[in-house]
Amino acid sequence: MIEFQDVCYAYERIPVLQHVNFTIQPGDAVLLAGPNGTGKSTILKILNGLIYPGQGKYLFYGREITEKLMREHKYSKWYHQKVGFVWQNPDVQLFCGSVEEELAFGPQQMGLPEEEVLRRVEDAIALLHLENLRMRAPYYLSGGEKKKTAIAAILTMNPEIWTMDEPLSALDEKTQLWLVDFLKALKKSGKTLIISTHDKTFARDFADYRILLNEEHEARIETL
Amino acid sequence: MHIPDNYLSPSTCAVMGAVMLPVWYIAVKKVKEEVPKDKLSLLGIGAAFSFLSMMFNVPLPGGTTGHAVGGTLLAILFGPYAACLAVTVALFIQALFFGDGGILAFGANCFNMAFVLPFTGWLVYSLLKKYLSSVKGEYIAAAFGSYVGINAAAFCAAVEFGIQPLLFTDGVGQALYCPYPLVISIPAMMVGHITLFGLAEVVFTTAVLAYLKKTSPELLQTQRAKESISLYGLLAALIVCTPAGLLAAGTAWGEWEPEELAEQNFVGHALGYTPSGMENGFSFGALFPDYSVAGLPDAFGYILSAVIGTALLILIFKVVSSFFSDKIDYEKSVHGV
Amino acid sequence: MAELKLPEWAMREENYKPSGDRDFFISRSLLRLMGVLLHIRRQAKNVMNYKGLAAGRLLFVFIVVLLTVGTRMGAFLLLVLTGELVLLCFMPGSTILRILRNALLAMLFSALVLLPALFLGSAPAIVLIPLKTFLTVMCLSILNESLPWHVLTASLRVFHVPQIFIQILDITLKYIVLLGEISLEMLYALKLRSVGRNPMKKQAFSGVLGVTFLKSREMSEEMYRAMICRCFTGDYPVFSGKRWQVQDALLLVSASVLVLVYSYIEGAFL
Repeated sequence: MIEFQDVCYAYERIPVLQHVNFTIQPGDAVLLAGPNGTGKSTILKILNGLIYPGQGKYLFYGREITEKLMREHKYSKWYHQKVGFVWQNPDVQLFCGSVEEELAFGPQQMGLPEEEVLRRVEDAIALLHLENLRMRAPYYLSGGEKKKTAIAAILTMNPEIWTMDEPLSALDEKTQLWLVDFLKALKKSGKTLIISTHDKTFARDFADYRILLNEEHEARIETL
Repeated sequence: MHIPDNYLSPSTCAVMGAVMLPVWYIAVKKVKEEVPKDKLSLLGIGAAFSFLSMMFNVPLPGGTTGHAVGGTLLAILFGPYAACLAVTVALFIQALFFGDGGILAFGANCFNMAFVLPFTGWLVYSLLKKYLSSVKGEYIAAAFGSYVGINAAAFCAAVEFGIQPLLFTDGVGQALYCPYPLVISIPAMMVGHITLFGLAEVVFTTAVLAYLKKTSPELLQTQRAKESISLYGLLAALIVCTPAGLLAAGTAWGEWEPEELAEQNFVGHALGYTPSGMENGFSFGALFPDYSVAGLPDAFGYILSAVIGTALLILIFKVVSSFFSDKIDYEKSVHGV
Repeated sequence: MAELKLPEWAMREENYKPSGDRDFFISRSLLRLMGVLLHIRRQAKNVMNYKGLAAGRLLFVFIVVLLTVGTRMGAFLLLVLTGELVLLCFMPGSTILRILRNALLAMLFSALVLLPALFLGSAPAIVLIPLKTFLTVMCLSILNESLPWHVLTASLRVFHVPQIFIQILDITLKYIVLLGEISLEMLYALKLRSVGRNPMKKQAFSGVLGVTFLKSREMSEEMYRAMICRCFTGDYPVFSGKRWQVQDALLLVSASVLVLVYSYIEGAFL
């Protein structure tokens, strides 16, 4: 489903990815691991169609994702619905007036009927225990609450592929445990998970394998 | 050798322009493929050298003047296709800003000086270089190449002048454009170029080549090259010296103003008329006609013209080279940087 | 903890067929913002041999602009043009292109503005104004491209600009970058979640702006507290390790030459 063929990428002429190859099948739970600055975020950005490989190909269901393709409106909307992204800093992801509106943003855009939107918002609020926050403005929540809201906002869109950048950062232990449960549930329902993390122990029990990036910017696949 | 407007019939100009189109097309393609990006911006400096060398007018007894072109030098440094483009741009700036060489005759001038000259010069140079492999041999090859190159170009210009009276005359038998047939134009052009102007080209080519070999030998390698202080220094020195070109009084053969033309006596007596095609021809007001600036002393204006021309050429090639995408080396180790 | 149970709709695969909606406004704002940020970041890297005092350059540019605006003779403008073109030659191609484009646009604009005056029969010197615009814009752009902003602002000290003013300038520049980066990421996030028809484009966009504003307030408050923790008392001490150097003297000499040439061309000696 997701295939990186010899992908290279450079920021300001300095390579951050060198000949990265991997394939991800539907339902896989994959960890992106490696020290700071080895290209984890770059891979996530490529996966979300925000940047494009400088060399090599990124194939999504056999179709190469290029700047030209993503300029096609229908395709890029379809693509962004398929792939959800939880940013490392939840601040950048939340811009609506209240948590409720934030959760409704995705399904409303997808043109779902009113009652379906409502149902999803309610379900997500219940699932993530956001009942007390629903009328609050996301900006004034605590770090952990913001993160949960961000995750809930992606959940209501129901993407096939979840990409997360360092989801553990700014979470307390309890919320971290909750996150693991949540991810397990996602995996069980057949979603694909691609998660970048520093944490060596995180998600070891349910992840299928991990892509280890080293300081030479090469990727190695390790089964867990 | 800069043919002004109205010396050639519009149809001749059109033909020459049409000939140049595929040449330019191929040259652009070749340069894109073969010349690395950083060398491309150096090409602007090369074009500036050519531009400056054309400002050094060498007087010949009898009142006519001529100059070196430097096309062979560029062909040796950057290859003939790149040289073709560089001289083309230099000629364009001369025609547009300084009124040197016609706008309509641009194709013809490019054919002579940007196509025939560097390619002939380069061919002779590379043929000779095969047999003369020593360091001295390379200079000899460069000298011969540049000499043959400029003469071939002058010959082409002479032929273009010379066929005008054969092809285009009015009812009374008076020439419409350039009035001199081949028997006059060829000797008149060639005398200067076989002797002094050819020598000027040889001296210019070998001297600059020797200087560059000494100061920036990496320029002669095909791979990466950097612009150096010595290059800019040489340019500056040339610019300061350009007013020497003003010392040569008189006009180059075939570059007279229409009024001047009537007084020329190449047919045995003064021509006595101004060809009608020239009198009512196309005229283009350049920004700094004859490299002079209104309100400034001649020498100062000449230097200013030289600086502006040089700067424009460097800028054009630098801007163009910035359009070519940088090749990023994904193989290089990140830690080696 | 009990196993988490996802709602039924989240277990299904979403069968989503988007209808067309244009969200050029996001892409366009993204591009603009990226352009500004890129410019500032690149600008901060300009270290084009700034030996010598930045103040010297600032003064030189001031003189050049003053003379350019003051002259009535095309020849002097040509001289300035020549000098500026030569300086441009030492810059990379993309920078040259940017400077020339800005200067040409400015010239075009001033020419358009002056067009009516030309028809009304004003003094002939008016045709010089677009050229003057071109030259002054180019002059300032060259200065801008050859010195990082923080050096430029610091050089204002030499002219006894109050410290607090310079500090505010510096902080502003820093925050433009920081906030720009945040809003850039926000726009990206908005783009990723804009998967269909968005009837509330304005709300989403104003949300981005609102969060940016809140963030800026929070950051400035935090910075003020951090400054207090670092013994900030309200005074900004002067720290400048640089002295006048040979390069500054050279600039001064060329400025005097320029003034002389100006007086010659303007006919002051005649």
